[in-house]
Amino acid sequence: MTKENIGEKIRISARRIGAIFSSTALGWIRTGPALFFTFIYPIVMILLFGYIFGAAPDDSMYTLYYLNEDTYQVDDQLYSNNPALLLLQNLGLENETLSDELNLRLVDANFSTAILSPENWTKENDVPYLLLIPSGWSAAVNESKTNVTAPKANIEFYYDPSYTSYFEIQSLVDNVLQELNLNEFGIPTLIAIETTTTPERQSLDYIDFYVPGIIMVTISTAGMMGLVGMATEERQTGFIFKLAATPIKKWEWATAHLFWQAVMGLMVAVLTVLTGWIAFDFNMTTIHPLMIPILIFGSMTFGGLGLIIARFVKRPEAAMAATMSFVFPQMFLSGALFPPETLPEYLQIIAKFFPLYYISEAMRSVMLESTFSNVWVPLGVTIAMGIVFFILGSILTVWRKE
Amino acid sequence: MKEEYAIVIKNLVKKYDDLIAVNDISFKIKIGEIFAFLGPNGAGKTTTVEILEGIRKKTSGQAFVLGLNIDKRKDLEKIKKIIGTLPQEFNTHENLTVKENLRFWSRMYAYSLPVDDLIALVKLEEKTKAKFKNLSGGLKKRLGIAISLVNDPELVFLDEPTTGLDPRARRETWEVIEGLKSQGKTVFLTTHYMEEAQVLADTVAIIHKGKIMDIGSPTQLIDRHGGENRIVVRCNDQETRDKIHDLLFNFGPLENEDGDIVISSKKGALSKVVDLLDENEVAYSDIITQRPTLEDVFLSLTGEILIIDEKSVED
Amino acid sequence: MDETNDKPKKQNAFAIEIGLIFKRLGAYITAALIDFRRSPLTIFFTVAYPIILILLFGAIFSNENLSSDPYVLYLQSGVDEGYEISPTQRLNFTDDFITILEEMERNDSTSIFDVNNIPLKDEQNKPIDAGQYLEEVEGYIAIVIPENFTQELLFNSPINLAVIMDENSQQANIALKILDNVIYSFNLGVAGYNDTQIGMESTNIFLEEDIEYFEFLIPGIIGVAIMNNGVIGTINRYTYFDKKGFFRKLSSSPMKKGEVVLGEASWTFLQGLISIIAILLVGWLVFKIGDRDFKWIIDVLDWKIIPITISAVLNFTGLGMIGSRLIKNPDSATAAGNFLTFPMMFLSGAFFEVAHIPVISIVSKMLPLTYIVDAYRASMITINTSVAWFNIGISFAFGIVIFTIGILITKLSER
Ligand SMILES: Nc1ncnc2c1ncn2[C@@H]1O[C@H](COP(=O)(O)OP(=O)(O)OP(=O)(O)O)[C@@H](O)[C@H]1O
Ligand SMILES: [Mg+2]
Repeated sequence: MTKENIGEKIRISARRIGAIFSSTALGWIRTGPALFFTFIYPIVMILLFGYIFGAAPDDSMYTLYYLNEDTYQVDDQLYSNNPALLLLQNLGLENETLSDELNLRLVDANFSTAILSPENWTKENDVPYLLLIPSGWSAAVNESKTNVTAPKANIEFYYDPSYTSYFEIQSLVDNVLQELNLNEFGIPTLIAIETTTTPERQSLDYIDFYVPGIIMVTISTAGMMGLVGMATEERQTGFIFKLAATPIKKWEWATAHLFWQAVMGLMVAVLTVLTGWIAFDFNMTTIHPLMIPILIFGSMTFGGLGLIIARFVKRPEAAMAATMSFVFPQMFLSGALFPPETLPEYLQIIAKFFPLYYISEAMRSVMLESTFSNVWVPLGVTIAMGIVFFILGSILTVWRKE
Repeated sequence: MKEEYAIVIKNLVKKYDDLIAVNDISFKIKIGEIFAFLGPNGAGKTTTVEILEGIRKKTSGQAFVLGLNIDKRKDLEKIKKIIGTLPQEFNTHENLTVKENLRFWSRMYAYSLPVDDLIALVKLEEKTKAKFKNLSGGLKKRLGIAISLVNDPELVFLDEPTTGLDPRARRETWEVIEGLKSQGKTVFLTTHYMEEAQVLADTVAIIHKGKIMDIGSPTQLIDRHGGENRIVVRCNDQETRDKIHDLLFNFGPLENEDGDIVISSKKGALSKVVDLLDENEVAYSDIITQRPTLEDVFLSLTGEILIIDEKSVED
Repeated sequence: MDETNDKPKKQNAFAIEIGLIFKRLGAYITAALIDFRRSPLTIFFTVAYPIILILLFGAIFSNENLSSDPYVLYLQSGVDEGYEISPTQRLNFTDDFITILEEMERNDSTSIFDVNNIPLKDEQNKPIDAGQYLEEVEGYIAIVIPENFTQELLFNSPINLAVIMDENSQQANIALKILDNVIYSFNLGVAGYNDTQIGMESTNIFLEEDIEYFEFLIPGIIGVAIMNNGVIGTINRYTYFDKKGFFRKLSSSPMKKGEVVLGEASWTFLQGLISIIAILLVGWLVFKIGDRDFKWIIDVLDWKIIPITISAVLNFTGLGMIGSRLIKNPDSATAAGNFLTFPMMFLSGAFFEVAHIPVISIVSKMLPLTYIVDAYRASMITINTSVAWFNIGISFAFGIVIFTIGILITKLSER
């Protein structure tokens, strides 16, 4: 075959790919909802998951209701050393700096246990947790300072277990109590803990960690749904068969669509990063040129997967359901939204079956310098998956009616 | 050697599970002719066309398109470059305009005709900027025909090109199709319209329940199966009708669905009938002779009247 | 006289009219039901999707799974000569400390820590930095005990133990809390106390039984399932009917808009009940049968489920009707519906509590799903009647407003 011939072939292929690509792009621009969703979806995703998983312990604000029934007085005089008040102060009462530091806001429950039991008050007011300092508590604390056999002075903590945060609040109060204990009884703190963050991750916030994951979640979800929708619809309208009667090759068609997915992927990435930057101070310096191949091969992987689903599930709505049953578990199991190590062991194994696992791993390693040495394996897997799924997707696509 | 036949089909069979949609058909289509595939709904027309276009699997048999074997991958690739197709249910990018769609399809081929010429050919000049989804059904069809011609094909498959068109657009489409013939192209046309086949086709094949009932030029078919010419006497009221019935008793009169009296026209029958009616001063409104049409051919071949239900066709 | 004669007639006509309405409604729902069996997407949203959600979140968040693995703690300790109090007795706090960590156990006698040693020097005899080491082995928490810890503690206190941790790791944070406690008791011990004088007593306000995470999850998933069905199903059906001219056809029949909407809503309600049954059955089979808690499925049934479901249907078919006016195109209906429901699913505390998360906690107060889920939870799981009614009230308020807007803007035919 002559050189010109090959050149001509490439030119014609490029023309076809270009035609499909540009018609898809034009169609996309002209459908209001599609356009809107492409732009708004990544923004919603990053805001949603950014706030939920990214707002991290630091920004949370828990409301703790308290009831202080302790009035510690000796002969009409308030005792100067009042442990009950001290406890509340140590929990951030009337001390905004401390309150912010503990992420705790104290609210006076203001009822009488003589009339209503604390359990019932908590239930009726739908309050997650209540701290009750019983009357005589301070006296009991002071008593035990001099009397070794005095009973333990306990405060009471009521919680609604359906509020999963009760555990954190309980341990927070516990810590403050321990400190109080050491202070009140003059026990010297011989050992203290000084925590530092793992060296290279110091400058990074939670959000820096999650932006890459959210980008890939968005791309995988939108990409697969998009391609499955497109492929099943083109088949239903017969468009694909009209195309099949022209000289275009399946791989040209698939390439054009995957290109399109990659372009959308880049757009999603840019939007996500920008939103992350504006809303959460995402660290822009983590952006790296290797992100682009990851986005491209990632889009190819999900595009190819979409084509495979569309091949086996013919009806558009059934295909959509199949896609969602795949995409949704993937979103949560693949470590894109929270680290896979927090999952039970068997789920960690399942996680490794989802392509998103490797892709978000690659993305994260690239963006976070500290783990750059870990880039190559997931990047290699991503590229391999991209190629394999792309080829499988275009081979499996059927252009002939049965 | 120049191919003589545009299409050669040998013992083609297509089964869907139990249903035999195409039942062992064989025929040939000469290059440069207009071939009409005539049959009622579900006869197997679309199935046959799609097999020839290479977009549907056949069950058995052989088919050659422009001398190329549809079973060979390489040949099929060549076929796709030189045919044009109009699917029965034609759809293209909804949100692209007429012109953009034409441009899209023309880019599928290495060589293509100028888009504006095609638009002029199907008289869509005023709609070039309209989106496909906003076109009426008939305009969509016309765009489909234009698209089937983008690569200046040697052979065009038109699956019901005029279904859903208004009479004028239908006539204009016929002109376009005749124009194709004059350019030396071969046209494979499917239709339920007898008139269309009669006006356009050089060769007509009548297909019914997957079988070819007969094949030949319209005149040949009529000669073979159409029976004799007929005399139709039109009248307006029942009284006259009864009278005519009685008078023409010897001719074996029949009544058609319009209430006209029909008798078969043997040699000299016409003048006898006119004389007879005039003598008796029957007030008939019109008297005409009719040549049998493809409809009669169809009737005699299938024993069924081809009922065209515009509504169900459009759906 | 006339009046009394007239009355039965009127009543009769009225009864006939009512009968007709029911007949039309019945026909409508039957058609929807037949459609349902043939529509994989609807079946998916009614049955499969909620089941995926229960299994997924049940598996991810159930505490049992989380706690059974030991925390991997890396430890680097310098050489500790100890301190000789008498020729036979030698104090060595480093050893004591490590022993305590290694021997700590949970109630089920699995160890809490898996203690790994970080060597002091590498092969080239260069000192190893614990932080870098932690990175390399991809660990999440490390503790460094200084050289001669015993003597330092006795003569040079207070001293700091350095903990290096990955702040983003949940495990590291839990492990740190445990370490805090260990050190606290260590402090007490060294000072000669063996118990705390001030303590805390925790009381679960629902003493009868501890609520597992999955039980918290069930009402959330019921709410989400009804929302998905309601919103996505309604948008899908309304836009499809509108495009295919089915609505125009209906509007030329005696069926009135109110009846169409009522038919749609009743259908969503029926679907909701199907979802509830499926969810409860799966939850029971997967999480309760194993514990031989057969009664659970009866215990969670409460008649208030019905009014809550009705309010949910009002809310979500209303939202769906509004959505279908905005979208119009059935092709993007599922995407659009998903777009509406997906964030709500997470913002309403259906899967995990959001009350303490900034911004989200405020947004969640504006979403009906929050109240619906709370109402289900209070009725089925925590059995808290006053909270249940409070939330049912708010759900209905939301529902009536949204549903009314939905009806007002729905048009069966243009004009
Ligand atoms: N994919 C399919 N699966 C099963 N049966 C099919 C399929 N496609 C067509 N058929 C059946 O094959 C027969 C022939 O169909 P075909 O579409 O070829 O008819 P046609 O002659 O084009 O009819 P029409 O004039 O209505 O277009 C019909 O009975 C039809 O129901
Ligand atoms: Mg057909």
